[in-house]
Amino acid sequence: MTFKTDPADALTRGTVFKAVARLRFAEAEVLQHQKHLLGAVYLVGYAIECHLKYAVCATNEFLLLPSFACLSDGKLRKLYTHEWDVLVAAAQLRPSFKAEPRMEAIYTSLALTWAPSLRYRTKPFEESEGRRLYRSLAALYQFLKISQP
Amino acid sequence: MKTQAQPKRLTPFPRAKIARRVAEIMPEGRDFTLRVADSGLPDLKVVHVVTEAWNRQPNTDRIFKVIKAVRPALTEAENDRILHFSVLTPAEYAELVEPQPATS
Repeated sequence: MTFKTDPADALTRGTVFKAVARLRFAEAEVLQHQKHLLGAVYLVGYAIECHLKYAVCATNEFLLLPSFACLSDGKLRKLYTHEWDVLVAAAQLRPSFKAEPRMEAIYTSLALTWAPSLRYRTKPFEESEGRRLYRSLAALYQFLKISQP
Repeated sequence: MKTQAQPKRLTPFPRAKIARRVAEIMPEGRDFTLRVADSGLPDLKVVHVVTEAWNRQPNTDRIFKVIKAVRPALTEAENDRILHFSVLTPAEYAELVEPQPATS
């Protein structure tokens, strides 16, 4: 896998993404306990995105997150993205999911469900749906944190 | 006639079996602690192997080693109780394993 950076781009340190992921997850936990599930679900998903960006840096030994990665399909993909699949590929986390099929199934379902557009959602979740979604996202965040500490 | 829903019967968690398999692959002189935590998801546990063994290896390699040794030794129902494994040093465990989300 190759990475490219546009010299004009302002890049962010991997450790900043890691710290932000932890902060957003802690905030999501508070919201979840207060039954603010829309905000909790959005924030825990954002924590996952940030941890994935940290994982790209940690796995590939970069101090700063590069602008682009050339993935196995030969296409150049932006790494300053909300697309988890791109980040998982660039962080070489696919084998970790393959080894734990339940986590892979959870990831696949959440990667389709969670999107930054959730921040504009105003319709509340049904409580059971929101809690189930939150728990799955939180379990995914914990798994990623353990896979790439 | 009304029937009451029967509570789901879970396979007992195979803690001893997991511990035996992990002990078999530990490098000589290395110790470990097995910690089984709720995953936050119904009926699913996370198994943490806390050890200094293999601590120079990438985390994913350590986890694969344990998965390869343990998963095949468990029945399908036992495997179904485990969401995922982790292998962490005591310091990593203290740093990374935060309280699980409330399940209420």
